Amino acid sequence: MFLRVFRTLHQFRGQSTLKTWIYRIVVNQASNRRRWWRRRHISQQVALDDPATNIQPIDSRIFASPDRVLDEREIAARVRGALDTLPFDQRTVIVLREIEGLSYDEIASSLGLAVAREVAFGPGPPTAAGTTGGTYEEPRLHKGE
Amino acid sequence: MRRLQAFVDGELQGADRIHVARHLADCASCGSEADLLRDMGDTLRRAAAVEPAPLGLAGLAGG
Repeated sequence: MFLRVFRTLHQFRGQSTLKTWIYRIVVNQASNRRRWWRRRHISQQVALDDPATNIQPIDSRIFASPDRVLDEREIAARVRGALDTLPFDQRTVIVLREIEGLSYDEIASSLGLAVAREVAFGPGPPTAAGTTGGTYEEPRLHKGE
Repeated sequence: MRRLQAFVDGELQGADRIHVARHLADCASCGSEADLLRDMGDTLRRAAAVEPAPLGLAGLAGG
């Protein structure tokens, strides 16, 4: 991957940060690799409810208690199973946000997308006049509201 | 919910951030929801624990 970045570095136009440009290359490579893998290993895919035999062990040095290690492995298996049910793009967004710690703007740039401000953040807060163009309603933070 | 997620993600700025923070101070339901969102993030990061780098390569990526 580093070689790939190095070889294409001359194509970097400075229209985004180098960081998000590199992430974009990584995401594209991951997407290509996923398609390649699916074509060649379609028959070897494992059902999500199968025992998680292929889960990488979490470093036991972090967790002293065997019970804790087992719990963490089970949780990790469930999390990975849940992630696997998501489309590639959605899974990528979650990984870039929660694991890589990218900002919304960095994720959008990495994926060649724009952040839909209203979708991502909801309507803005009230202005001094108590409204933002008539679209703001009191906090829609609760579920189901 | 989207604003709450954005707040937890540290993506809200200025008045938006203050507004949600004030709401969370008074609303146990949303406070619990915010805690749940943080817990989910923590769980994802723990589940993504990676194999340690080979001995000779450790420390190279961190700059």
